Amino acid sequence: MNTYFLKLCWKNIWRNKRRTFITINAIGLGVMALVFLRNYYDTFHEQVIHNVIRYHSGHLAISAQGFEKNNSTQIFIKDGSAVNQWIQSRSDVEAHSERVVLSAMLSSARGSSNLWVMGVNSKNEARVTAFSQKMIKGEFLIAPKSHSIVIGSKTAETLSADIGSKLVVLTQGVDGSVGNELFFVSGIFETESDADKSVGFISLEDARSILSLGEQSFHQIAVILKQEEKTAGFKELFEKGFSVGSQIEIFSWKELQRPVVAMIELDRAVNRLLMILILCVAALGIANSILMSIMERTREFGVMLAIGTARDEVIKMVVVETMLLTLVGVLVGNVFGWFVTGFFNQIGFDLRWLTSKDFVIQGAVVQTISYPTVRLYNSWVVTSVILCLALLVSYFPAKHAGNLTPMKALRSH
Amino acid sequence: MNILEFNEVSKVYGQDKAGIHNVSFSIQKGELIALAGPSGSGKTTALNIAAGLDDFSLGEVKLLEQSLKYLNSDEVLELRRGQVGFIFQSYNLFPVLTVLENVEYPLALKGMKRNERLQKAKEWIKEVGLQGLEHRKPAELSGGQQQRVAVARAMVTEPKIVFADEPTANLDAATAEMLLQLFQRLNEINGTTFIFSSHDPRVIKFADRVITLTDGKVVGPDDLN
Repeated sequence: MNTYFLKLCWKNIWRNKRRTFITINAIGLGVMALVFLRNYYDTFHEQVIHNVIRYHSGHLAISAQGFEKNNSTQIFIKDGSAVNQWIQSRSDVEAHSERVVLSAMLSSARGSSNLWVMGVNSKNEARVTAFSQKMIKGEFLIAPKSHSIVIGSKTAETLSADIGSKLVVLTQGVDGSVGNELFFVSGIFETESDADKSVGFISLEDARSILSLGEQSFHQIAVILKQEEKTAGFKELFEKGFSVGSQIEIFSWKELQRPVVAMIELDRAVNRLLMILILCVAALGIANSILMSIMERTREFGVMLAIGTARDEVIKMVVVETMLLTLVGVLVGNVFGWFVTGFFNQIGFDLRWLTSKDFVIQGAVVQTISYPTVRLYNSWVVTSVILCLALLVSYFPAKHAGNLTPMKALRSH
Repeated sequence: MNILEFNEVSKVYGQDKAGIHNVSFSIQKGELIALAGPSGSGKTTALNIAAGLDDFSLGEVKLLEQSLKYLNSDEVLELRRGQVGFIFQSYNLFPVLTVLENVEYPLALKGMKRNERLQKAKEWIKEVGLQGLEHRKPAELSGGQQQRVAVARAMVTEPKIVFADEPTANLDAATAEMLLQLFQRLNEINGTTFIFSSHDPRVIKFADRVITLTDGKVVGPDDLN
């Protein structure tokens, strides 16, 4: 098809401007909605993933066999020096933090509360999780073996505790003995998640001391990689290095946070369904517009065929007209989709008006406000799908036009 | 050399409605022929069959020395492209295209390059006396001007034969005469064969030869039956 016929197709789609504008608007609105929604969902999912990684296990969690499944503090790695050494030798690791986990009861003069107390190296933990950035009072952890404890805002409320308050940590040691120590509240965090009432932090040394664990012992190492995509590769390499007999296992965040992964998958499925519905409506609009245009021009097709236009050229013409019309709608929709995404990237897209509560997924709060970013991949997907649909819906009207007999077509009004 | 031959051609519509009956005639290259007869006499049917636009029930039609009976629709279309011109009663120009673009259309179908196409289209627009109106849309032209665009569109590929179905039916007498004079001139200069249908005696007088049809049959001097 040469430029002359492209020009003819272009002029043909504008012969009924009102109808063309309506069709372009329908396509444009659908594409805009899809581009924005897909950009929003991707950002939202990344945020969910970021939250579960940054408030829980990191990208990967290494622990003694059975610890993650049973949540038992009796299951621990006795000598983790080899594991530590291996992790430190890896250039793809951004940060890692050893953890000693205590299932403890915290008591103050005003009350008591059960929670998971994590014994951590404050510097390492600060690079792995985001708790240290969520301090509303005091500091994360002052110094090793300081008998200082960091608790969440809800725990502080239950125990009527504040900075400097005394709390007794009561737990069962790995040898079965009951250990209790006096701690001073050195910091209070607020993450707006379940962690505010269920997690506390003490130093690694204090935790080992209460549980009677050795210097190289711990329950878990949380690992943050430089790139999330390398999680599976890292896990595979680790498993090769620490395979049979090591009694050590490694889990990716996807394995530890299955409900989150399932939620994201479900969300994506609903998104795809929405995309299909919106695109089907747009495709119907396109089909309607093209059919009307063909019915109006039956006589013209008769003239074209009479003066020597080949049938496949007529078919091609109708298909190209449909594709041009769709392309204009898609371009308009993409531009507006980017604009809307950019706009909400600046001011944030808040779902609070649709839901009265924050989302809590696997204990991590997912903020209702997101700052979506433009992702060309989404535009590419939406554009490709709608162009394929347009091609599909144009085929039958085009075939009808191509199959007209000149005489019949010339007799029509 | 016969450019068009009808040998005992019949066309039957439905069970009892006849279009044409055993029509035979032949037309030589360079003739200016009028198909005459009253309304419903079969002029348009004969013209459409001759051009390969309509099929026929019996007989044989040879256009440009090829029997249409043995050609499929695509082969007929190929035969028409560039070698046969059409002029319709109601002009049938493409409304979205300008005069120049309308005339360019058959050349674009032939795959001619843009510059060559434009030059040729402009030449024919000048030939039919529409110079200066190249960028007007058909709706901005009078009936006579539109028909002249249709003539330019039909002639631009320099076809061997041009069919015109009641080309003057929608025109006033003066414009009709001008159009017929144009046919005569193009016929004389280019040697193009023109076959036009009409029932208007003032128009028919311009023809070299008249084939008269009545009730689907050829009557008069060209009745070869």
